[in-house]
Amino acid sequence: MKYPYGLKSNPYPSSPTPTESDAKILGGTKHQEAKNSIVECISELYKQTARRNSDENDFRLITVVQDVGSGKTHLALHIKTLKTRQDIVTAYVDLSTISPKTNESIYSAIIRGFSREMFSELRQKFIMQICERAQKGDSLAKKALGYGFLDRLKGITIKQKAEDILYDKNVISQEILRSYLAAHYSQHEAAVIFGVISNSFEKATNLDDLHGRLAALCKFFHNLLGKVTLFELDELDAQEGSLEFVKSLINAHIPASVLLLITTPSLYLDIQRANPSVFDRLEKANYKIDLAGANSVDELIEIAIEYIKEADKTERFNKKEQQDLAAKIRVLCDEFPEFRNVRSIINILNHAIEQGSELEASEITETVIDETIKHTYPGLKIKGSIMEVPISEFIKIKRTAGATQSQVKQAIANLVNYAHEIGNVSKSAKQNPSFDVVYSDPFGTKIGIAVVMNDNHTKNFEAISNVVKSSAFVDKLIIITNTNIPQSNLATIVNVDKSKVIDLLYFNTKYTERKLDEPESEKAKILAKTISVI
Amino acid sequence: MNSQILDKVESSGVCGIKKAELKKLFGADCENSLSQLAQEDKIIVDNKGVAHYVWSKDNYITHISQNDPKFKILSKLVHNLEAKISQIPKSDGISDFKFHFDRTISEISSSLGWVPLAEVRAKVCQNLDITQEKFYSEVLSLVEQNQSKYEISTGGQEGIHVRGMLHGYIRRL
Repeated sequence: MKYPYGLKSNPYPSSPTPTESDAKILGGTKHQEAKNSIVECISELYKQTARRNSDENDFRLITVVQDVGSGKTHLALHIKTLKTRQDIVTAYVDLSTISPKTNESIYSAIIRGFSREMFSELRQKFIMQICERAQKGDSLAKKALGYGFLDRLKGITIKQKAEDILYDKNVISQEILRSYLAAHYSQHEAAVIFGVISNSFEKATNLDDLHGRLAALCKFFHNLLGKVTLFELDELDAQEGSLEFVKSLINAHIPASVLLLITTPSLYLDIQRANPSVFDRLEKANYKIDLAGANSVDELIEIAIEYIKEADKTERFNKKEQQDLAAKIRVLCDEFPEFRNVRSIINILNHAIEQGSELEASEITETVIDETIKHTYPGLKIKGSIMEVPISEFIKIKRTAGATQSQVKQAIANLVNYAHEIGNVSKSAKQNPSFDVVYSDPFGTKIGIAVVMNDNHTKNFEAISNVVKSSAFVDKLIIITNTNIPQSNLATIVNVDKSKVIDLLYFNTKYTERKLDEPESEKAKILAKTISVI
Repeated sequence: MNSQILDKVESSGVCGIKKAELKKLFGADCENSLSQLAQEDKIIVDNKGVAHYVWSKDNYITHISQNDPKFKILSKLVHNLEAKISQIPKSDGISDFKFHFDRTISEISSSLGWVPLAEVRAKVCQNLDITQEKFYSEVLSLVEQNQSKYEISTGGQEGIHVRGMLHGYIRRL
């Protein structure tokens, strides 16, 4: 199956929320800046703690507050999946999936939030530590590894016994392990090491257990693996359980760790009302990541292009194609607020790539977008359009409409021609240069139309003032303009907005190509009425 | 007596009425009433030829505009100025609304800049004496026209609907 731009697969994720795999690609300047801030915070902490044991001053708090669908979760998962940086170990927890939110349930979710590889590395370190102790003659360590008299007689080494456990060829005795750990470690450290080696973490029933174990875990990650721990708590809400947990975690100052809290502006302000004490702590975060402009059109374009660039192995997706796609996305976002956030634009582009593949299109064309919207967003129409301009035509017109005044003049002249052809008006054989078109209505009233559509409104005022001086040449003067001026006794002012301009240009194309069919001719009459032509 | 004198003066029109004639009609005591009315700017006493005449204020302005060349010129200039002023587009509601809207957001803004639209609405509607419907219709067009200047966010009890979701929070960028 072939996809547009020569892609072998659809680069845009299809799930409504990102997965770790989707989050490997991170586009957009704002999102990149946010990522850099987080990475900078972690790196600083890493450098600070690199050559010493970490303490309670080695704790950082980061908040990310932005609206739904703006890419916060994507950012958090991207940080978690960063392969280039080896100094972070991340636990990602989606608090919205935890109910009820108790210390016990959140602790379990944090443990599940770490990657298995990290625990495997830690497990190896712990078992090798037991091995070293056993080699030095620690009898409890030998017992824990199951090393006995017979093994010595058989010539089996302590290291071999440790490796058997490491590669799951042998099982460690839980009872002896507990005794060994109790003799060498604190209660919380012992609980963590036991959980890691046996891959079975006990429940943390009180705050003391919870903080003690998390601190022990961070200490081991730091001392044994040389990593700073990042706790990512997504979908932070104002529920009592969530806030109590967060407050205690901030107060605990877990060494060599960073707490990253992700929430929405609405929930952030809910927290302010529900628990001012927690809110105050969040306000004093070391880093407050502001994803302002995360849903701006420029950012959305950058994100959209990044996906294709990452997937494009043949480098077929060149600058020209990027600019072309950017222009189409810009028109889409300008017209439809529905697409103005990261989640929405990724979603429509995922569908567009699939649609493009079905239509065997070499790129995301206007027709592809049109078909995609018809299938995926059937209720979506161009707002205020009388001609019911298809979205594909709308995008084409918007992208090609340059010198609007001359195009509108031509469209108005053709609208009068059309009204003349269907017998609604009589176009004057002798035109007056002061007006763009002169015609008579069925009662013989001589009407002149002037189109004044510059971007410079001061120029428009001058042009309107000049054309009004010629109003005596006609019985009725109609001024079609984009400038907001009050009605006058001397002329009928018709203000045209962008949707009406698109209608006129669409009509003009259809009329000049002689493709005005029955339903569109009726709409053209309505258009002529709204412009006061008939 | 004052009101009778004033009626008589006004009914005399642009030509005015001789002071002497008023004294004939209302007696010599009317002098005090005339002084009082003149002090209140209700009548004007001025010379026309050799006689003292009395006009109502509006009639006097018309009289001098017609007969005094200087006032004639000035009057024309003022009329032209009035016509030009009337052609100037009135300060539109949007900019007035935007001013109050922006100021209210700044006043109640938190550290991140997000504010509930309900709070902004309460203040702006009170200041501008507009309805809730009018407020949200203005907000919608303001946000739509200034996408790079405002950011909206979902949630809250009231706000504007975008992408089928209620957006009850806003901030200025």
